[in-house]
Amino acid sequence: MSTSDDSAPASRPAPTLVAEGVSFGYGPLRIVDGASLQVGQGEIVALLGPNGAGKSTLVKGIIGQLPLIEGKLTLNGIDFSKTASQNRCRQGIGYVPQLRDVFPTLSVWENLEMGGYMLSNEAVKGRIQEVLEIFPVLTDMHHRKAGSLSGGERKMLGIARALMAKPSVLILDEPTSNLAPNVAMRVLNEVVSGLASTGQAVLMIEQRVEMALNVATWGYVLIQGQVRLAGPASTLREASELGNLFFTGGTSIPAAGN
Amino acid sequence: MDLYIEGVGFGIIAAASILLGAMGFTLQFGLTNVLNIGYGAIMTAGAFVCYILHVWGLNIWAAVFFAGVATSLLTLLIAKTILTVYVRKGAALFEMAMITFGVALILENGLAALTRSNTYILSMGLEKAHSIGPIRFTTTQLVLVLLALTVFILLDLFLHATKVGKALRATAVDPDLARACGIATSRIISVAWLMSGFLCGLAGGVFTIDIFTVNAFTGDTLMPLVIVAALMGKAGSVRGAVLASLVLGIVTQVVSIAGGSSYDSVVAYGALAIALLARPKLLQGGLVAERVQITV
Repeated sequence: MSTSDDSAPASRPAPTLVAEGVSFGYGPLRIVDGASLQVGQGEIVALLGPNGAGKSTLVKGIIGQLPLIEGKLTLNGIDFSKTASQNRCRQGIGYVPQLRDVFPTLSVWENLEMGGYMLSNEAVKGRIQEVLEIFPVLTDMHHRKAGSLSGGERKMLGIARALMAKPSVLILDEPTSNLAPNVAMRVLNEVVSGLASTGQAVLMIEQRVEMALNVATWGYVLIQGQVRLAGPASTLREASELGNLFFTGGTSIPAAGN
Repeated sequence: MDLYIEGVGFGIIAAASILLGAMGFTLQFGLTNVLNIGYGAIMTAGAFVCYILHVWGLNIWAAVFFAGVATSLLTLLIAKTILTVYVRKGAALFEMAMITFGVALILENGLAALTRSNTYILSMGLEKAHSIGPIRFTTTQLVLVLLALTVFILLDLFLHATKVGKALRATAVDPDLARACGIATSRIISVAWLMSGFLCGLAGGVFTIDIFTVNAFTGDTLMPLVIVAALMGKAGSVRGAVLASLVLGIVTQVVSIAGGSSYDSVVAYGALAIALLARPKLLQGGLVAERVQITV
């Protein structure tokens, strides 16, 4: 099942997405406080942590739904800290939200077209064909309303939609949260791993820690808005501190660097 | 009995202005969540523009078109100035509805002052009536119905077959996701205001042609029917507005024949009450949404 090699070296590919000491929050409240992480080509980076640790807030900040309070965000070396939300897609950020991941009143085909909104009209059709080759199951249902799909199909459409724009990094917010365990396993082991094997950089939030660490190459554990633990997924799987971090809020454990 | 059948004919003609108004209302409401009570007053403004241009000698259909252009600009102006100011101050759904109500009062009473509350008669000359069975109609009335249908077909095509139209539907259902796809939602919303304003003016013009008169409160007669048709047809759905408009047009005309035109509003709000009882989820995604978005 595991796609990550237990003896994998801790050296990582050159980073695609880098967050350096970023803080995000609502008003004066800092939910994420000076967090740093990076994602490189072909990596699946799992962002873990207990409820309320700030995982979703961090992702919302990266995609531009929340303004950056401090720190720096770069993609392929280009600073996008101040780029407006709707322009981050053009720069290479692909995002699949946890729940509202498709346009339910639009057809499967139209959802893909919206995913390729930044592409030229001529390019869209070709790109849809390419994406449908990755998700053949969607081909037969391209007339159907996205709102009528099953959980697994819908998640695949959400990911396919995000892939339309050929993102440098694909960000998945709890891709398995609404899925039955066997479907969740397929999405992670087949879809997400498959994408990474083609060189796609993936950052994903996951509640299913074990399942996530089985497919991830690297993991960050976020506690109270700060990265308290980071390392190769294989190391994190073994780490006895992981459970403590989740249950105690991690107050007694010093932050680990990458 | 014949009188009632004729009422059906009148109902279809009345449905033309209801449909035009409902399409504009639902488009704007679906995208911005602003329950725009001022829409009725803008229809009145459209009716006046149409009347004045016709009095100045312009062809009546050109006058309807330019009424649409005028109210389109007026709508965008109101959205970009007054409404934007209040949204930036954090006004929620109910406050926004009250603010648009204020806009309606200013517009209508302004018009009433300018026109000294006169009612003007739009004279189109006498026309020969055609008849299909017991239903009689003039060429003008036929054009009204065809105009509304044509606009509906064009709008439906725009929404389902063009890139901007699809982006408009996408923005209506999930603006955050739309932005994540690279859609400049603020520009899309401006497009919706402009189109909604245009349809509003057409509705006002067509309504005036239908009833031959215009005064400062003309839009108020049409407004409840427009809101009900938009909500019954499911907020945000242009296709749904067609059947709802037709039903409302026919029911109000038949009721008028039975009991007098003062029952129009009773029928409209009664229909809304019944529709909500039967399908309480009608307003979902519309009125129950918490966010107002008119980043224009």
